[in-house]
Amino acid sequence: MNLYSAGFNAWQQLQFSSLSDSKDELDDIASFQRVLSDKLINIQYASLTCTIVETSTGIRYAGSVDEGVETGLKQKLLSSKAAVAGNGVIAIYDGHDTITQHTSLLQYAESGTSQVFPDMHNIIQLIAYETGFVALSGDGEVWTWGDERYAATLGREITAASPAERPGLVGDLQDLPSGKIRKIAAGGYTLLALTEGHDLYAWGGHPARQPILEWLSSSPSPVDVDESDILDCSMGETHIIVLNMAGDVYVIGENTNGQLGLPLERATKWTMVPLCPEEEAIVGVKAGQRSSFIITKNAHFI
Amino acid sequence: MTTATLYKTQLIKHCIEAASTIHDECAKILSAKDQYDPVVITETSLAGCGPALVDLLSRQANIVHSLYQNEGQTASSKVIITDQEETRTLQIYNLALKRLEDIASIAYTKFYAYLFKDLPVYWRQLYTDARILKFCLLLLRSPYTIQREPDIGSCHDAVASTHKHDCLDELVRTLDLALILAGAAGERTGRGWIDRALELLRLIWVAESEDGKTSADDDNRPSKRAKLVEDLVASNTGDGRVPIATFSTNEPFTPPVTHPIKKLEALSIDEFQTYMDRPGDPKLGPGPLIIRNSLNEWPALSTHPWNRPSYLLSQTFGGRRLVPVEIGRSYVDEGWGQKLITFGEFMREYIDHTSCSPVSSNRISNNTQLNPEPHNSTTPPHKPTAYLAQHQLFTQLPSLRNDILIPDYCYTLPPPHPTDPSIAQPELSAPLLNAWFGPPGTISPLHNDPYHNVLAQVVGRKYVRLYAPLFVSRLAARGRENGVEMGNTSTLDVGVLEGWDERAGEDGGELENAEAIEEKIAEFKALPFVDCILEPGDALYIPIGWWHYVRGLSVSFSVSFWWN
Repeated sequence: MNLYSAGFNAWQQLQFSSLSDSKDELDDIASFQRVLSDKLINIQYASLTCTIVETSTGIRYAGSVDEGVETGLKQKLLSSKAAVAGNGVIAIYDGHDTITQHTSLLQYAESGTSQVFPDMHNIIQLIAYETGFVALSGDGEVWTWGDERYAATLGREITAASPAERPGLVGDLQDLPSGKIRKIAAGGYTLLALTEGHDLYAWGGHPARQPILEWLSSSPSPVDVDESDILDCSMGETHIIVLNMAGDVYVIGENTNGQLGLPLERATKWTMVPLCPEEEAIVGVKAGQRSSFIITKNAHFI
Repeated sequence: MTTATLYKTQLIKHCIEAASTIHDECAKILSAKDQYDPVVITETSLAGCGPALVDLLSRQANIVHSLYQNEGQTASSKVIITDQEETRTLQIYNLALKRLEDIASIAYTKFYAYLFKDLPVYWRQLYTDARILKFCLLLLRSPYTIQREPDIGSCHDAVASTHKHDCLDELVRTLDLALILAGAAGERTGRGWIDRALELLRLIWVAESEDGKTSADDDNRPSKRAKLVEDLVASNTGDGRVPIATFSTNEPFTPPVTHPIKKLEALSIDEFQTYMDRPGDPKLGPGPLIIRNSLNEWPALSTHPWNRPSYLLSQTFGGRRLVPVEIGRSYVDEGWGQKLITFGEFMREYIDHTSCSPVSSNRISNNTQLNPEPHNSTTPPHKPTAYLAQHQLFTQLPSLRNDILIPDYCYTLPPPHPTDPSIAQPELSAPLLNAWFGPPGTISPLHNDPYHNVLAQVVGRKYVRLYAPLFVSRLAARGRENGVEMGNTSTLDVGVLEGWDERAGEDGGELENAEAIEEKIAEFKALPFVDCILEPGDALYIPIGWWHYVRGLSVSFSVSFWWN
C-alpha cells in the first residue's frame, strides 16, 4: 500500500521519512507526493499539526502531536470515540450508552463538571467540527449538537424539546433511498454523510461566508460528484475530498496550503485529482484540516 | 542624519525587539517542564495555543530576527550579495511571510468558534504576534527602512510612487487588523508596540515627504508641518479634484420633534449630580437631558475641527487606517453585515463622494475582512448605508482621542436602573468611549444599554427618541435570535411605524392584514416618548435602561461615553 499526501506541512506532518537535521523551514506540498509505503496503511488520525498511521510494523507519527493525543484520550481520539471541537469543547463516548462533554482539555484533565448525554447507543463515529459534534450509530442514526449561532450545521430543527446544545437526531438522514448512513465526516462548518448505497449528503454553512458547496443549506441534500457513486469521503476545514466507485479522487474547496493537490487557488466545482499511479488502485481518502491523503493498494491484490 | 533616517533606525530597532521578545516568550513556554500537562496551561499564556503553534511562531520570530541581523550587517559592511544568496534569502522571506499568514488564519478561525467574550486571550495574542512579525518582514522590503543600495528596498520591483503607497497601505493594514480583530492582545508586544510602530512609520512618512520638498531643518515649524499634512492629503487626490472643506449639512429627511427633551445650559458636575439624585419621580429615576455648551473646550469643535474631511484624513494616516463599518440600514435587517475598510474609502464611498478622490488602482486583495461580501454581492442599484458604529476608535487612534474630553458628568455617581437592577454591569474603571460616524440616514434601532450614557454631538445633526424603561412590556423586546441574546433590542421599527421609512424585509415574513398593521401603529403611537434633534456641541444624557432610537440626519459624527 502507498500513502500520498498534499497540503499544510509546516510541522512536516505530511512526511514520514525524517529528513536531514536541517533546520530549514519546510514548504507545503502542492501536489500529491508518495510519503509512505507499507504492507498495511491505515490513517488513524489527521489533524492540523500531525498525522498518525497504523502500519504493519506499528504506529507511525508525523508532525507535532496534538496535546489531546498526549493525554489519556489517545485511544479514543484515534478510534473516533472522542473528538475536540474548534471551540475547545471535548466530547467522549464511553463505549456503551453515554457521551460526556467538557468545555476544554483543561477542564477534562481537572475532572471538572461535565455535561452528560445519555441514551447514545452503539456509537461508531464521533466527529467534531468548529463549533459542534456529529455522531453516527451502528443503526445509521446521525446526531448533531453544538453552537446555536451556526444552526445550519446541525441539519435539523432547533426546538425547546430538541435544543442545539444537546444531541438531536437528524431526521432527514433516516429512510434514504440508498439505505442507511454508514460514514460521516465534518470540518469547518460543513458536514457530510455517506449511505450504504454510495450516496453523499451534505449540509451546514457559515452565515457570513461563501459555502464550499454552492447549494449548501441547513437541510442534508444529496451531492452530485460527476454523477458517480461515492466510496469514501473526508472533510477538512475548507475542503472536501471524495473517492468514487470508478477509483477517481475528486476535490473541492480552498487550496491556500495546497490541500487540493492541484495548481489552483481554489476549486469551486468538483475537480478530479490526476493521480493514477501505475499498478495501484486508490482505496481510500482522508483529509486533515488543511491537508489531503490518498491511500492506494497494489492493483494485483484487489 | 536626516530626520527620516533617525526614525527609520528607531523603527528597525523596534522590530528587532519584537522578534526577540516573541521568540523569548515562546522559548520559555516550550522549555517549561511538563509542557504537555494541560494543567500547566495558564489562562493567558500563549501556551494555551499548544506547543505546535508556539513552536511555529517561535521559528518565524527567529527568522525575522536573523533577516534583520543580515540586513544590518550587509548595510554596514557593504558586502556584495551573490544572486544565489539573494534568491535563497528571498525564498526564506516568502515562506516566513506565508507561515505568518497561516498562523494568523489559524488563530482567526478561533474568533468565530467562540463567543467573543469567551475567546481565550492566547488566540488573540497569537494573531497579534503573527501580524506584528509580518509587519516586520514587510518593512524590511519596503522603502521605509534603511536601504543597502538605493534601488533594493522596494516592495516588488521598481520604487514607483504607487508601489510606495501600496507598501504603506499594507504596513498599516497589517497592524490595524491586529488592533481591530484581536484587540492587539499581548503584554510585552501588543497594543503598546503597535501604537509606537505606527507612530514611527507615520513620522518617517511625514519626514520623507518634507525632505522631498525642503531641507530637513524646516520640518520643525508647526505651521509648515500642518500645511504639508494637508498637501499630503491633497496629493492623495491625484485626479485634480478639489476636496470639499467641510462636510455637507444636507439632510435628505428631517423628522419632527414632537415631545422635546428638557434642555439646560452647561451644568456643573455638582448640578448634574443633583439632577440625578433628585428626579421628579423617584420610581422613574432621572430622565433624559440635553446639556448645551458643555463641549466648548473640545478641540474637535474648534482647533482640530472634525467637520473638515482633510483633518480627519490627516489623523488617520492619510485615510489608510482600517475601520469596521456596518453595511445596511439597521443591524436587525436582513443582509446587514460588517466590513473592514480604510477610513479614506469609508469617507469617499459612503460619507461624501467629494471628500476625497479614488485611491490608487492597486487594491490589496481583501481576504481579511471581518466578514466577506454577502453571497449575492452584485452592486445594488443604490449604495447601501454604511455606519462606523460603536467602535472604540479612540483606543485605536490615540491622536483623535486628544481632540475630545471626557465630560465631567461621567465622574458622577449614577443611580441604578429604575426597574431592573439585574441589568447592571461590573463597574467600569473608566468611561467606555465609542465613535459613531456616518452619512445621512444611519439608524440605530430602538434598544437600551446597561450603562448611563452621554451622547456628544460633534459633526452634523441627529434625531434621538427615547422611551422610559417603565414601558418595556409594550416595547416588544426580542428574545434569543440565532443563538444571540437580543433582549435589549425592540422589534418595533420606529421609522416604519411613523411612516418615515418603507417596510424593509419583514421579521419572520408574516403577512399581516391592513387592520393588524393599523392596530400596531395605534398601540405604538400611544406610547409616551421624548425626542430631540442634537446639534454640534450638544450633549444628551441617556439614563441607564432608557430605550433609544437614533437616526443621523446629515453627515454625523458623535461620541458616546458609557459609565456606571
